[in-house]
Amino acid sequence: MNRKTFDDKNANDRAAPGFDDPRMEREWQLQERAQREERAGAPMAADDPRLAQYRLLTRALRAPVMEPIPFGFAEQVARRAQAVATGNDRVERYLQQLLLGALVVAGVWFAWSSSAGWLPAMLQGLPQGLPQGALSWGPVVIACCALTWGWDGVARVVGLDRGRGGHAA
Amino acid sequence: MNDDRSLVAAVLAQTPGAFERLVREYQGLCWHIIQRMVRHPDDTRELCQEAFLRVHQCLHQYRHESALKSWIGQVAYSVAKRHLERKRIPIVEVADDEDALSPLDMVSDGFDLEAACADEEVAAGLHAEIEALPPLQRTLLTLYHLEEVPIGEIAAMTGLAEGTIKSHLFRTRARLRQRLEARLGEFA
Repeated sequence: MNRKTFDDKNANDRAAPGFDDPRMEREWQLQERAQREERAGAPMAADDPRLAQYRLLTRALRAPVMEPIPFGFAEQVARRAQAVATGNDRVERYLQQLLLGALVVAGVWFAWSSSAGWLPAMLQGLPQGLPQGALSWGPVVIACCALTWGWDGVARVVGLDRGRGGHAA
Repeated sequence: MNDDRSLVAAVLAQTPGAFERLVREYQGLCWHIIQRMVRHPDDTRELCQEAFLRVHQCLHQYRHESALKSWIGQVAYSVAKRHLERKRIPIVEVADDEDALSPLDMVSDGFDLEAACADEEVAAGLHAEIEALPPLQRTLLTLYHLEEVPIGEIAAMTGLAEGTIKSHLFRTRARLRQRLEARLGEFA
């Protein structure tokens, strides 16, 4: 862990507002001196009991009685974070698929329900625009394309294509 | 600061082991803040995990405007604070000025630091006094003395004004010294 140097620390403390009461300011300086001397391991000045008491306090604060960090804590947390992130990802993917499915169903339903208006007109005009014999093999080609590309799309959305390689886990 | 940047970039790029490295780097800080705030070992473990999960989730929002240490400390502090608020535990105890000034008037002489340190009862009593402090005061002292976090960074972590932090540190230390003196008087 990066520790601030004493100079950095003192610079920071100077930036903090001082006390209006000179007695309090003196006491603050004494507290800070005790902290600095304790950190530096300076010898104790025998003539200042107040400073000595603050140094004892500083010593206690720097060696608290605390539960230690459990062994392997970082590893456990990292594993849990990974699991949470993956879980979130999966939920997001399911929602996306659900939305896409709903969109397709709504589209098909709309086309079907309104087909009475546009389908006969389209079928009527179709034979003139197509080459001869197209009405017999045309639907077969369309069905083949729809099956191939449609299945690829569905497999991609549902996630069935992940086993084919190319995607990192 | 550059180390922080590369570590954050590695975590965001999902480099294997990067987040574990980040946790290892800052787990001490998080653990100390949360344990000082809530004191309960099981809660500390759970909340510390929660804090790091939040760090993992929100790291893309970190803009390097403050040190990563401050940002993570801020997350840990807010997780612990919210926990105490949910449990309706007050995090701060307001002392009046008289209470803060009175310790300045008393002083005894002939204090032997080494003898007092060797006295296990004195040390245990002092630790008990620190433990008995309200969560905020306990946490501020830990950040300042154990983690050696400057007052400006503590302000960034806790959202308190620097003057308020300084005042808390001053009053708490003065009061603890007074209690230490009283305790030493009992043993004398």
